[in-house]
Amino acid sequence: MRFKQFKEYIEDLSVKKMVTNNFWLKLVALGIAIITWFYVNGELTRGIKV
Amino acid sequence: MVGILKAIEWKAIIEIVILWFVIYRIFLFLKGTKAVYLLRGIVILVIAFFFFQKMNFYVLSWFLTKFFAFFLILIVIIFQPELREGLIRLGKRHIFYIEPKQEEIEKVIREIVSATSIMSKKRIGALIAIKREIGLKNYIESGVILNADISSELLQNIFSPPAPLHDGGVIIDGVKIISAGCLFPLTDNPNLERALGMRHRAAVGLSEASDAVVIVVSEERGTISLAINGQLTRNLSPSDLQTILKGQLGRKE
Repeated sequence: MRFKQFKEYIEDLSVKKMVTNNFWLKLVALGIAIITWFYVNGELTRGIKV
Repeated sequence: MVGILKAIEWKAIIEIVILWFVIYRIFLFLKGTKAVYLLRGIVILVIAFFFFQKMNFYVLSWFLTKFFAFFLILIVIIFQPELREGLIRLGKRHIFYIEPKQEEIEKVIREIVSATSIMSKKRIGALIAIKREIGLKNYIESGVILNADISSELLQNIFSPPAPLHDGGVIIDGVKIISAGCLFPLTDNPNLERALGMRHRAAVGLSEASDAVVIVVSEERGTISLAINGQLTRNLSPSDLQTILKGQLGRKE
């Protein structure tokens, strides 16, 4: 029963829904993630060079 | 530009995706809670910090650096309940949560509207919270766990006095009544009408503390109200309630 439900869930997954659900929250989170990564990466690279 | 493209290799993409997921989950967790206002303040300070650094405003940067060091301790103290709940949830979350199907959601809405309509006519007080993304574990545990399929009759039975659970709230998750007789937090919103009773205050309180949709049936007047994100909509007809619930709970395709 659980497997059947899971199969239906997978079949029912829509990429559009996954993207549009909480779209702005996802976009802001992505922006912050990219900024954080570049900032930390920059700091680490600078540290290694010194 | 070439440097940026060079920096983006597969490991970087994995790191960014993990960072994005963690930040997104934190946002979802804080959405609809009071902590979000504090988060806005922190974001403004962080932006100011980067700006001061870029513009070489050394004194202001120094102040903010010192402030952040102190602020980290402050955050742990302020967010202590949220941090504790978040860490507990991290270990318990179902990765493959099976979302109910549209027809199941419609059945749940039908049963809730039917029960609410009958209780409104009979002037039976009711408090029904429908869980969405934010967990309600603390409130679920304050009541009696039922884990029962939703039916209009069961909801009426729970709220009809002198049933032992009629005074608390019911929490619905998906197609199940998870718990009954639950205690919800009371709002301290001063703008709420003084004539409103504890049920309405509890409904608004829970909708402020989470993203749950909370339905209230007044015992005195038999009116149906709905609390979402701290906002109370009063004097709803059963058809209004059905329309709003469909909009709030229906699957977004």
